[in-house]
Amino acid sequence: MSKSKKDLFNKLLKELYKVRNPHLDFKQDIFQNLKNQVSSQVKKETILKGRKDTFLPKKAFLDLTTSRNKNLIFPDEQDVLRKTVVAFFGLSVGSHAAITWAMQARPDAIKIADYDRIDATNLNRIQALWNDLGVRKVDYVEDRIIGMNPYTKIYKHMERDASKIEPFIRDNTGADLIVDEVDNLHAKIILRRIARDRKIPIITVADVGDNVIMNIERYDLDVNTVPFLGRLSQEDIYTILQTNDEVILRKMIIKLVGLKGNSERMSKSLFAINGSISTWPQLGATATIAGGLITTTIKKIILGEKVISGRYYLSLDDLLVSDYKLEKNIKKRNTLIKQLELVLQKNDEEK
Amino acid sequence: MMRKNNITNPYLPWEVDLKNFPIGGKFMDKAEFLIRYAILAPNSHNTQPWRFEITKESIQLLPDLERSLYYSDRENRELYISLGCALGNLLVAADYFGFHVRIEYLPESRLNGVAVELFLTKRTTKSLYSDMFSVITKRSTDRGVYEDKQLNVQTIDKLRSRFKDSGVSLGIVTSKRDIEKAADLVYKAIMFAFRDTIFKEELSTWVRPNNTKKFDGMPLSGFGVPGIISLFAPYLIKLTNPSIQANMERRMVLNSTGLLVISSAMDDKVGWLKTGKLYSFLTLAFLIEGIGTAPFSGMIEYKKVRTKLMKMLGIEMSPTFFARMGYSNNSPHHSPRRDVAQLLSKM
Repeated sequence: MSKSKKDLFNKLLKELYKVRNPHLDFKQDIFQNLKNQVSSQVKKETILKGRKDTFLPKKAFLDLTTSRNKNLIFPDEQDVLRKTVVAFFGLSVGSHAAITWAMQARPDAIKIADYDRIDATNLNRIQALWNDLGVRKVDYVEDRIIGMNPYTKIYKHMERDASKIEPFIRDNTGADLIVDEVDNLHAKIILRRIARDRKIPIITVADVGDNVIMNIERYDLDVNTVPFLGRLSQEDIYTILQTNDEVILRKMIIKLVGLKGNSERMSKSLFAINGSISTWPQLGATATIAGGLITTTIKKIILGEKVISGRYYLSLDDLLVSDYKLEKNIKKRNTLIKQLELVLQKNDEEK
Repeated sequence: MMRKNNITNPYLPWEVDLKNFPIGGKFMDKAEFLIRYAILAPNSHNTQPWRFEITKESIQLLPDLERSLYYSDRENRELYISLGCALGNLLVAADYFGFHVRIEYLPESRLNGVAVELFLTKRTTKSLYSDMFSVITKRSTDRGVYEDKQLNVQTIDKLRSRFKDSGVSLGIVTSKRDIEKAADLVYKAIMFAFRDTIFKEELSTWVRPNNTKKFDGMPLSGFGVPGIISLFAPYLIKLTNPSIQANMERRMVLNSTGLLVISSAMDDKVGWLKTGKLYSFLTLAFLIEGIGTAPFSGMIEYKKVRTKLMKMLGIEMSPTFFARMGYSNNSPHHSPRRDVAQLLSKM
């Protein structure tokens, strides 16, 4: 081992000493014991992929990297989270969720799926670098996760074909929970069928302006949970599966996400699509918040907190803006929503 | 970001006095004074969708997207034309006070969304627009009935060559037959607009009673609505009968001796800015000649109507601006203005 690596190894060991013995001042003999212990484990774990990057055996590595989770997440819970396999579908907002989940839970395995590549317009909401342009989103997320935890086994899925989703979820480690961040409605329907068949929960969020809307469907608690929480009827689902008509699909997406809770700017932006903007706007901060919200929700579900199926609004406008709830402002937003509905209806009629 | 409004009278900005120009002052103070003239420019619905930033060497003109017409101007065409109008006034004022101006449209080097940046240096050549300066504070949109007097074609031709700019073209329609055809298109556009509830709702948020204390929007006096009735401004718009309104506007067009059509080769933001600049120049030059203009954006905003207008005029460039015009003895009122202090940042 070179001198610089040796120095880093010693520094890491000192940190590990503090993490494991926060109540103790530094004592050379205890430190020496720790060093011997870790060094001997290093030798045993030479076959492990991550060891060569971290110089540390897995436990020491996890102890260090999860030390600030302590007491908010107990060690046994951390272990449960580590063993949990989450399948993330759609890696724009989903990239924040997958990376945040990997950062906090340090999972042994994770599944990530997206067929798309990073383009320049993604960079306002994905923490990718300019050099990442053209890179597959799955490869970008894999790099980030491996960079933070080389012990994680990553399963990637890059197929457009919706029929390949099921084997991806089923094979290898299976999946304990699905995060659905795909735009494709066919894929969304298939994910729900799989979740129901395998009795696993599914979480999906929509970032809308500064606010986040989250749907939780707990098929693990009740297989009779209504897909999409009933926002799409069986008839809608049938229609979606029969069509590729973009106008119909767009209408269904709006039905699914809904317009309620839109800020004034967000509603006005929807009028501007294909006018002054090319598609609906999304913000990096909201995407990041959505990633955090998903991770916290997964943690609560997996650790058995009472999280039930439902639709949840996290409105920062409501939380932060003092006049957001003034009657005149509510009225203004409601008028805009009515106007949007009218426009959608008009478009339908013209169609 | 909201800035402080220092005035209580929304018509005070029209009383700007050229004697107060800070001759020996700093560039910043001079630039701020020039902006006082920019904000008097015509603009769509009197939304005044502009902001200004002053740097050490330039004035930047920026869009205020909070003030866009989210429904009827989804492309922000009218918004950028309004910015172009402010640019026109600014150029006239800068020229008058001895500046040469180099213009950069949508400068790549600026990251703050600048629509136009004006670099001001001391003018060493002849003044370009000094004749137009004195009417900036007198100008207002003239929606009244015009005189039945033919436009002087020579005057128009002179203005066309005087304000020639790349990428935009000025057309004046004077033939009775074409005016009639255009009047029919106006009728269609109005019917289209006033049958649209959302259009009316949006419009109603920008009309004001004649005695308004607000700093933006259109007092109905400009449309010939008397004071007491104007108190119900938003409701009046919502209750407007499309057919009555369309017939009224149609008659107004028929009674005009000319129609003004500006077209742009690209129909992009630069084209819209140049359209606005040209219209601003024209309103001032027309005012000197005793000609009034009343824009009607419906002819442009509805694609079907716009296409028909193109066909009727036999032009390939996309029309970006339409107004009726004619000699006028009317004395239309000014519309309110926001205080410069509210619109300005200094860097």
